[in-house]
Amino acid sequence: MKIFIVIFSLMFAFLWADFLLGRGGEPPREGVSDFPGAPSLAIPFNHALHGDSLGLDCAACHTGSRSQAHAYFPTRKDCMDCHRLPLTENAGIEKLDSALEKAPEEPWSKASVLPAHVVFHHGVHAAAGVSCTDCHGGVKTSGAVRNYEVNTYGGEKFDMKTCLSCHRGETFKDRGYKRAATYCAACHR
Amino acid sequence: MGMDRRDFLKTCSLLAVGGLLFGCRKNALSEISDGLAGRIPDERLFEEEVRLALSMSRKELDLVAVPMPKALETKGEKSPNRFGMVIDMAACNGCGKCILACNRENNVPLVTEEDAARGRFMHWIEIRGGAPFMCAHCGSAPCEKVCPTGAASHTPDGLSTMMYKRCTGSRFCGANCPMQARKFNFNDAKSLGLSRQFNKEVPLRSKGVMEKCSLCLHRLQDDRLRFKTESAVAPGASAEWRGRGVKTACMEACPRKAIVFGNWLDGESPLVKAVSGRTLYAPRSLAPFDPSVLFLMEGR
Amino acid sequence: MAKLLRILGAVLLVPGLMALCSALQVGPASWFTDEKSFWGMPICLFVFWIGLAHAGTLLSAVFLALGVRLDRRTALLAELSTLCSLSLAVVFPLVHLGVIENFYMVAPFVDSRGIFANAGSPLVWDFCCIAVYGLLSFLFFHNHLSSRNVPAQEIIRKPFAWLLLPLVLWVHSVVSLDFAATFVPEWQGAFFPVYFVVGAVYSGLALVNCLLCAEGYRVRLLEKLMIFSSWFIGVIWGWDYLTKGVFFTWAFVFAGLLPQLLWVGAVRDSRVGRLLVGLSVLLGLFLERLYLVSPSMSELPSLGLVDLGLVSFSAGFFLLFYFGLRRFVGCFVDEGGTFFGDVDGSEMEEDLSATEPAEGDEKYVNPFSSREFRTIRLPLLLGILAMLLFTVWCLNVPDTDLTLVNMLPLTYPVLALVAGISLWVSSGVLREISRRVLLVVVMFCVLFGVLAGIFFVGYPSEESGRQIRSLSLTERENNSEKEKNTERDIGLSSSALLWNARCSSCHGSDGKLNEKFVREYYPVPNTLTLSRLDSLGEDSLYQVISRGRTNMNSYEGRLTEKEIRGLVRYMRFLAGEE
Repeated sequence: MKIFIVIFSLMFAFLWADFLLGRGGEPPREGVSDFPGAPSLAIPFNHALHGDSLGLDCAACHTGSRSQAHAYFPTRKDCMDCHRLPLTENAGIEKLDSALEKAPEEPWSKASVLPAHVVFHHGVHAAAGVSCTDCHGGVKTSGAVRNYEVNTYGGEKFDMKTCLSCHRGETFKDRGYKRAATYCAACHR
Repeated sequence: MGMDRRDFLKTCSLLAVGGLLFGCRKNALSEISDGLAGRIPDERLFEEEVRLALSMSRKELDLVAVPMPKALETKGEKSPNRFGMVIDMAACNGCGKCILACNRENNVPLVTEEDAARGRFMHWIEIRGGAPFMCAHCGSAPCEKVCPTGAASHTPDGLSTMMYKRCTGSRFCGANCPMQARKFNFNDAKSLGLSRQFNKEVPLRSKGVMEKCSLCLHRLQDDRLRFKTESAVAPGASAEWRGRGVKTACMEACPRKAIVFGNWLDGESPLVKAVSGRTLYAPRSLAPFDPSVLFLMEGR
Repeated sequence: MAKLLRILGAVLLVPGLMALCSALQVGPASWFTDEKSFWGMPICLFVFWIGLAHAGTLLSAVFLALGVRLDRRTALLAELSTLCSLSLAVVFPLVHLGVIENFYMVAPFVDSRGIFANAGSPLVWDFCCIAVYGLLSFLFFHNHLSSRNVPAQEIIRKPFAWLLLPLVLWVHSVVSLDFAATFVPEWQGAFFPVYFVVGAVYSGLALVNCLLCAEGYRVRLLEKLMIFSSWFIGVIWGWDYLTKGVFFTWAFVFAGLLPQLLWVGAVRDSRVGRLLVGLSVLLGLFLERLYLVSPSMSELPSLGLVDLGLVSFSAGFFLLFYFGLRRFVGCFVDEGGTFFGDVDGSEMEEDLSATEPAEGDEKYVNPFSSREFRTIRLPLLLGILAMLLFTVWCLNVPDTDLTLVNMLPLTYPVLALVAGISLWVSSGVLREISRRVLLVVVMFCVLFGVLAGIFFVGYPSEESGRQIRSLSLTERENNSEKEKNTERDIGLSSSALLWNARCSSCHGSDGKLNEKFVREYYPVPNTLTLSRLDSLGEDSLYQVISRGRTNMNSYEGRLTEKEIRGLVRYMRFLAGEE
């Protein structure tokens, strides 16, 4: 009996420390758009409409996502590339157009959660065949709503272990990615 | 007569608290009175410090002949690259422009006046024996073997890299480098107003970590990432990155072209072309460790 | 007497704590660090106190295992001094570190980031060995104390001693490898493990001798061993001098010459004489460690206040801790009316018979069927199993280049850890445990679990907090300044990537159309044919992209000049493909 108490307290303390200090202890981050509970922003954006329905590639707005280190957010001008014309007969389009005219030049920005010593290059991952949804699709991929569709992003909940597991070929086995570099200097400086 | 348990514990804790408070006085006072914190030093100070270092350089280099570096022995696939440099001792006149360029490229901090008086600078390149000397990126590096956390590690491309965030400051690597090529951040350079971020691509190091020449790892990384991204769309391009066209900051700055950076395993590399027909030399104490940064001597 | 020493300890501790806090605050800049080796006083103190810790284990466990009879009281006090020295010694590596909060990275298990320490480094071996040594010493001591009340637990003492004997030698050999596995010229020598073990034993004996002087009695065996050790280490120093030309004069004087006074009867018989000789040995060996750790230190005055303060801290802490705990242990030591006068190692003591097998030692018992061995059989088996599993697992951790040779120094500590803990548990100690002690054990396990958790998780990295925005033109121009300087045009692949991002949502990635988007939502763009492109000309195409056209916005603020020209070239390439 007593030995069980001892073992139990050991495990409890270990998990407690892990919870307190590890990433699991942080509340899940929410995206920057109109997800319920997110702070109100300049322009609410609907990913599901622009992505799946219209067939736009992620890189059309996040211009760096297939070629640069950062994916970047679009500027107002990038939105106006298409929205300079009334795109549908939907009643809301007039409201949208007037909102766009009043919008700031850079409607979205966020503080990076990546530490300064990490080099993450979106382009090289896209070049290797990783699709945007593999990281940003998030957990709720099983038929139901995907994370980016409700404007939350999965990439922020990643830690080094997640990156290393894929680089070592332990996760995403069905995608058939080739083994990526796992030496320290591949991603750190 | 004897102290009872309670008194003993009370005395102990009082002593501990008193000692701790007293010991922290430096920290508290420094925050109030230290005006240097957060100040960014002027660029000229960096130039002056390099000149001071040049005037104090005394050490000599004891060179022996070594064969040309071959591919590294690695577990698994061998990389087609092995980066290194060669320094032509005949061409070098000890001007020190390479040191300044390196310091600016890598945000190397200044040191306090006491350290400068003793010749303990943070410069990654030192002039020894009339030629620039820096980490030789040994193929079988003694420093990497003894790092307890794995912060000092080797890339398959032949670079001996230093991961600052993984460093716990045990200084075992510093003890084990036969040529003392490594520098230790004794001070928190930022809070003493000694560091300046010339180059945004390179992170500033915190107090307590070792640093050394990285062969401009950030330039190589950027080039490799760009190449791999573009090769996915480039029709008919070869998949191997050879690092062609990348130059280290010291190589760019040398007016006499005494430093040549390149790829020992690439026949097209300026490094291989520069050493064809010449004997390569390395410091005697480094020769058994398969260094990648070698020297050319006059007429040989 | 003990009270005086406690007060002395407290007095020494005050400047010591100040120095310690200064050292922790300022870091390695506050004490003398050697030019060549970057090491200094903290490592010297670490090696010194670990060495002193070995004495306790030597006198209690090793003598028990080797069948040398020593009185119970000395053994208990020696074990106490081991524990105090060890707990002091583990502070110093932490002080020595430049980034103390990264201390957890030294532990050899795969942490939450998926990476592994470099198990080929002597510091990792140090960490494991000393952790195991500390834990097992504590368990051994506890068993010693509790077996007074529950004699049945006595049975594991000798088997435990069998485990501790190789562990002691192993630990200090590993500490010596901290030096000998490097390439520092002054630290070379295959004899280093022997050198360090002899030095540790010698200094430990001197310490125990001093402590016994404080108790008021003597053990002749210790004095004989001290003289023997002084000769042994003299030989090693001579060898060091012959091979490397290294000789520590002051260390030789204090720890080699002065202890020879023990040959003189007057010195040996007087308490003060023995005490002074013991202190001289300690000083000499401390200096030796200091010169060894800092090979390019020329004179002592290069030591600063913090250095001396750390020495004072260690002395004060030890005195206070040891004599403080001595009070609580006193009840175990002083009871039973056992008075110890001139105890010679060869005399039988009454309570020692409790540790002998009941049969007596005239009859030969096959060692492998003796009662003690039967006690240790199962724990040893568990230990060997754990060791094999650990080794196999370590060698299969991804992305390390560990070989079996690197792993060898970690094998025995793992074995000893598992075997020692299971041995201790098997003595039935947990069965008859009181509530209060159980609470203590539980709290200890909680603490240990938290520590293990911290080692696993590490400290989370600081986020950069850098703002991610859009790619404004100024930022892009700043980034590509070097490209501008080289006057190289943007390559075709780079333009292809830009086209796929910016242009393909209407024009398609092949230059024709993006079927889904266009027609349904957006007007159809013109087809790109080579003839059409030629008729327009490059400058005109540049203007189209830059200034815009019907249904196409201007890209002037969003693309640099070179990028636009690159896109124009890419358009021709796409058209040429058709």
